[in-house]
Amino acid sequence: MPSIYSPTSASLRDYLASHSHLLLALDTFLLSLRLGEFNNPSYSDTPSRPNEIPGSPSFRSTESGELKEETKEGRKVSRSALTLKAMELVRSIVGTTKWTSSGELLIILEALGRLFHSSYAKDPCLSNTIRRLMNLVRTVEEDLKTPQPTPGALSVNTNLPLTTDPGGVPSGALSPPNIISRSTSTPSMTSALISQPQNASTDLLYSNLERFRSDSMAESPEPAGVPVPDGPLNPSNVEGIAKKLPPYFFEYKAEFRQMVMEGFQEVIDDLEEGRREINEQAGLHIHSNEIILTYSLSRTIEIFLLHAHQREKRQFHVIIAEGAPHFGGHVMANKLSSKGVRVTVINDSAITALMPRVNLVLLPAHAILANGGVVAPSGSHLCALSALANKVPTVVVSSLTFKLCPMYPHEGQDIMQDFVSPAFLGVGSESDNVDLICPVHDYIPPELIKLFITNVGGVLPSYVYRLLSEVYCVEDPIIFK
Amino acid sequence: MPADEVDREDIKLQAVLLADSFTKTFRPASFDKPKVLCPLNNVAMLDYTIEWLASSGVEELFVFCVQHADQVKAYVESSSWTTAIKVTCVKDTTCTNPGDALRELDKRGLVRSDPFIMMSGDVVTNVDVREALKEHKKRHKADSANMMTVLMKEVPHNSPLRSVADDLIVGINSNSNQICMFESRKFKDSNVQIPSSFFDAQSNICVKSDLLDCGIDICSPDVLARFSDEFDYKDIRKQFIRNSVAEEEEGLQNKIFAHFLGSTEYAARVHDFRTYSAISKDLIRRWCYPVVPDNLPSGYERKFAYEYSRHFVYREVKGNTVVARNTQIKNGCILGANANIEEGGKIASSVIGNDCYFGKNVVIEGSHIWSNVKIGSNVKVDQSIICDGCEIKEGAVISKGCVIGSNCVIGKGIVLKPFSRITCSANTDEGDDGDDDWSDSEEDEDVQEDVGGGEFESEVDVVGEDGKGKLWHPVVTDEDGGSSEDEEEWGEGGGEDWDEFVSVESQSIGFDVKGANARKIKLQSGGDLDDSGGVSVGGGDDGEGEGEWGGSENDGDMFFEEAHVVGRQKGVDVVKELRDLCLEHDHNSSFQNLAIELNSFKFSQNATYEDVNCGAVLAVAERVKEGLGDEGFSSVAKVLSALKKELVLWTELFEKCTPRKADECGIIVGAERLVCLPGMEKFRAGGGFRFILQTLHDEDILSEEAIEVWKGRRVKGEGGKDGLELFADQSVKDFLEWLEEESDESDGSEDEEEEED
Amino acid sequence: MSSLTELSSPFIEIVLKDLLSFMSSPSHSDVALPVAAMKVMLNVIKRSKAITMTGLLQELETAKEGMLGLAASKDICGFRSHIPLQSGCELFMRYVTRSFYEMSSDFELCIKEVLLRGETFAGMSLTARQSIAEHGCEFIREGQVILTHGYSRVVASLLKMAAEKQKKNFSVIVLEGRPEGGGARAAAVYSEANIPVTVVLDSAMGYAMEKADLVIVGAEGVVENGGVVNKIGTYALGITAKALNTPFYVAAESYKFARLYPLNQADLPRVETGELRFADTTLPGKLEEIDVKKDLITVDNCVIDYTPANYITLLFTDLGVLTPSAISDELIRLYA
Repeated sequence: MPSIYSPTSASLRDYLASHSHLLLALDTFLLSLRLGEFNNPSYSDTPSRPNEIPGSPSFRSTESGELKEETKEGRKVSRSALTLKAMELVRSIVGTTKWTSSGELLIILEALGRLFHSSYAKDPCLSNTIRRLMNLVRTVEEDLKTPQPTPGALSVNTNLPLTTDPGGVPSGALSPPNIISRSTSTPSMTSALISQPQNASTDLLYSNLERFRSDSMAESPEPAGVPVPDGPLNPSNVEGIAKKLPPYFFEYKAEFRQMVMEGFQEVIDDLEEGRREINEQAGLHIHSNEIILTYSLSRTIEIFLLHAHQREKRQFHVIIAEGAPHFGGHVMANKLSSKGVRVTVINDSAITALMPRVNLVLLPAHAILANGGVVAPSGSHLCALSALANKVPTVVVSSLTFKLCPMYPHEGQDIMQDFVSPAFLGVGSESDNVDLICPVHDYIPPELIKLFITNVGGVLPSYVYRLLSEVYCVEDPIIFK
Repeated sequence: MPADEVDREDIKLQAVLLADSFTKTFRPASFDKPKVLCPLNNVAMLDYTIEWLASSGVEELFVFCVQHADQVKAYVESSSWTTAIKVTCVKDTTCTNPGDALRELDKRGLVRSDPFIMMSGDVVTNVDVREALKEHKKRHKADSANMMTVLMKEVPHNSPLRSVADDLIVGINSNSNQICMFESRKFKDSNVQIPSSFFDAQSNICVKSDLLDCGIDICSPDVLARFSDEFDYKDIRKQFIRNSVAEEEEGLQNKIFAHFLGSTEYAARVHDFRTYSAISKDLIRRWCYPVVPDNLPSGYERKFAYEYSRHFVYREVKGNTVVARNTQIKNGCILGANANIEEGGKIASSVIGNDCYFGKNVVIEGSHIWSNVKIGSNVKVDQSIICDGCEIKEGAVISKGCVIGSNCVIGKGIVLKPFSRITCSANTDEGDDGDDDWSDSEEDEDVQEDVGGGEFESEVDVVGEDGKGKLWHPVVTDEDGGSSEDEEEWGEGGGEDWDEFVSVESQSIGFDVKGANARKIKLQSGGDLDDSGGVSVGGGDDGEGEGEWGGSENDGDMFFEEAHVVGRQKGVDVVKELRDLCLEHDHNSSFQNLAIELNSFKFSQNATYEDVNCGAVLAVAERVKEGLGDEGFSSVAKVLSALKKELVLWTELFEKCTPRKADECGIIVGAERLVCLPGMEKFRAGGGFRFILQTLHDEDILSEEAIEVWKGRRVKGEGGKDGLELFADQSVKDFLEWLEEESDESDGSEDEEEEED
Repeated sequence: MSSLTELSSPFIEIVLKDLLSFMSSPSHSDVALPVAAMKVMLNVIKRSKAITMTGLLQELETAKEGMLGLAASKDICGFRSHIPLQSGCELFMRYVTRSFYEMSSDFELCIKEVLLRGETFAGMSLTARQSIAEHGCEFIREGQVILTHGYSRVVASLLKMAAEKQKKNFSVIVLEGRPEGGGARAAAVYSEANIPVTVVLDSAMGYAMEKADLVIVGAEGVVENGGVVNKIGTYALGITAKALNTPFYVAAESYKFARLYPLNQADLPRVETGELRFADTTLPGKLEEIDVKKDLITVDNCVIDYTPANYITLLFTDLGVLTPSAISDELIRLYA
């Protein structure tokens, strides 16, 4: 029975060697990441294939009829679809291979994460999903250690801040309290009161680690110095994040596999549910006779608006910035107007001119960052700025399930930036002194954003960090390198 | 028939990849490494193509290798790309051209999928081919004659992605996208033809000169069969496609269609070093997204990872690349793994391979440095390519357009002349005719580049005492039968003007394409029309025209006859018209007027000065004839003296009509035809032709250059039967020898200069 | 404070001697104040004869009071606030009590365990700085200009890691950092790590800011609302940064988190330092010290100020990168 020791693509392939069909599935997926349909020139729901882009010169001449066709084509590669496909792949790999312990499973997941990352997965939703799953595995493992609540745990619970959303925090999206406290406070105690685990001598380390883990989780302590089991794997002979894992992650537990698979299913459901929970808030934020400005194309915003229009019977007017050079806005306009929403399409440079008459700016998100900033289609920063200048609230509508990223905007504006073919600009130049670039994203700093409308309710930018600590474990890699 | 259609459907998609472009244009780099394994932006070209094929759903791939077959095989087997595609090597070192390759494939009967993709291993693209496949299937179902779809991209005529000599003109029926003409224009032949029958058959034909042939075809297996039938087809493009589309007979037709790339799709083929660097630039500038330097093909991610930073600078991040603080790396660079660059360097728009070391204050611009290269301090490299394992010692200067083969060493302070190619490979030109290619477009015409010039330079004075390597020259052609065939191929150009577009220079980085194109168009339109040639319809009516359309691969003899036959207006014989004009001219009025008259006619008919001169000479002959009457014509001497008188009279006109030396050829041609006129047999027998040349030369009507050019063409076997016979005449040979002696040193080196500017 | 009377002043004497010797000993030059405090408290426990947790805690409390008293009266921290001292002590006491609960209220066992773990404390501040550097240097990019104030060991280790480990090319502008002028030392350290440094006067803050891509400062204390207490001038720096829209980062170890909630500068604990040398350099010849005896001249020689949270972009701590608003959560967790 092969077991995997290090999260490298090579060792993963060896591990999968006996399952050729899995390997094939994996490779085809990676290919489609590199060159294929998923490599979207713009963001989420725009068609992936360059020549399907409404922006290609043909668009302006052709009438809307064909466009809808094209975008239907395009939708099959929307990011939620991408994430789902990735999830299915991961599940089939985890489901069919013969790993024995949570530690091993974590290594597999990390390996997959790295593989996706190295396959030009500019899209953060993949690594986010992997991170979620890793956290899930840890959670299950901790649960199996039969936690029994004590005053300490309660105090942690009571410290759970409330969301700004009256509805409170839907439990669906949040992990149980003991994970919250564990995942967030483990490192705090370890680093605050002893040297980092990996630097300390193993025996003392484990006794300490155990104790701090447990005392931070306020569980009853176990006898110091748990003996390291000599299973197929133990922390001393693995690589990657698994090195930091305490020994009990490498013990075989009968019920573990089944629990994990159930957890996976939950995550998948989450992905599919996401939008419904968002739409439920449409009534709270969109009122009749309002003028709403949105930028380019977003499936999430589209159905959000449609919900407000059809279910909540709100009569409002939507101004759509066309979002050059991909012109997702034109598609958006067709979709909304065909459902009876009143729509005005403007060119991006007219945003500031129309902002004074706007009541609300809705923006889509490519990714939501740890500091509450947002990566959005290029040009939306402009919207947010002019909205601020006119004291119009900017609201970001997005599902958190796979867009919430644990990283900060190190690179400033360049975070997660990708440059697609300048051919989209539709201009060329003879001269070598002219550079043409076509960036697809903008980074919008948190102070420009009033509110996030997410599948866990309304969230303030300053509160995002908290959600992070609930879905991800700090010990998991922020970037799968 | 429909039955086997059906079961063909479910055969998984296959592809054929020609891992050998059958050209010389990548020498000396291709001496010890097959072209397809050469790195483009630190990725072997082959990997781009295989990755693309895999991602477009190809499940089985046959890599057909000829040159360095073992290397390719080894590479394919060793590399660890995705399991999504099954790659098999087909090895046959006997093939000398794509035609043979396809016949071989047909013999082995490997290719079963209908359709299958056929491409060469040096193409970089991000095309989504699925749609094209669908269309092709539909068409093929409808009519089994629709057997091929050629992918084409609209690219400005002067784009750096074209090889300079490439002058593709395509006729397309814009209703069906069927190709009805596929011509590559030649020097002096500014015309292309479409059989008029096509117009009855199918309307709405548009002729485009802005199409780039991507080198990707979707074929039905019948194509292979077709090649087996036409056993003499060597090239896919210049013969199979060209002739197929020109076929007028319904039923005999193999219909070929074009698929145009979307505005944001990219595809280009590495013809030579110039296009190589152009494509590399485009990838760096992300025109081929998602095929960009920071998105490596499968398998590479294990060893490398590139990160994009501003101003198109890509750095390898897995290895430890060290760049000194004050070294500038500007607009569009790639830094490979473990590169180590000392202080004071300036690196602009260049690609640096893995494990390179650069000393202090190196200046590198627009160049491609492959792996394991060691460059000393204060070295300057400009628009050159330095292959694996080279060493450039301190202070050396590599001027623009150089190519330095693997493991060469350039000594201290050496300054390389522009466009010099250095190699130290034992594998010399004689040895490797294997990858020579007579048919693959104009690429290998560097062969002819230094007829006359190109004396061998010894190692030391090129690369210095401490250097290693010798100057590499393309094969110098000789008249022996073996190579005569391809002489015709590359001979089409003819004249030193044309050499410019098929020389080593034109295939090196830093060649001034814009200027060249301007000059080329001048040439093609006889130096007057600024647009690119004319299109004539129904050329199929006269004998020579047929010959041009015929299947024979030697379109060499297109050249001369066309010069006076292939009509501007249908059926107009320009030379004759010109002659008559000259005859109408009376002696009292100045030649000035005549010159103007001729010129204007020339414009109207898009003729060339050569035609004018030719006509003039004939006119002269006519006059002489009148003067002497038939009996006078019997004596060679008389005729000669008479001719001489007349010619001298006309000198003024000739001067007016020869802006360029080459145009004087017309005079010789005139003389040729004059001696071949009926009634001139005696004169001809008496070596009259030689004497005419003599006279013309003595009277300075004819310059050595002109004679050289003319000679050059005859050597290449142009000029039709008469011309060649005359040329073969002993007396003419004597004359030429005498000429040689008279002006020895002023040879060859001259046309070099003319190309430099 | 009835308990205080029982414990005699000699007790405090020992404690203080302990503290001072610890601070002065060269071997611990690299150890931060709070860590020193914890060491002292460990020694207290070693010496203690208490047999109940309450008794022990009383002793520790007294020791803390003593140390703070000393810090407030004499300048032992060298132009620094004693907030870290306080936070160190409190964290330690909190920790002792917690491990007491853990050990299911077995006093003896608890003491043993505490002493055992105490061994690792010395290395603590180093490892903390290490992990801060790891988190922080991600934010530094090729070719940036970084503005920093005075000398801070955390910032130094962070910049060093970026320059030496990650081989990034960037340059630093250092403010002089009066009164003690840590800028000079900082400049020396950075040029040591061959990072180009420019030194400017504190008053050149605004001038230098427009050159800077980001600001990184250390902190002496991080308070509940996410604001920081740091060397005088930090507040002004924060305001300038905000005005010019330059990111303002603070690097601080988690043991500097203090349970304070200052609302303004006046709320800060007063720190006694030596007289400020306040001279008129325009006078010819010798520098003329102004005569502070004159009753109309008062010298307010403040050495620390408080920078409110809204001027801070992010904090780099050994718990990871935190937004100011995340601080209170972490504090609750630490002192829970």
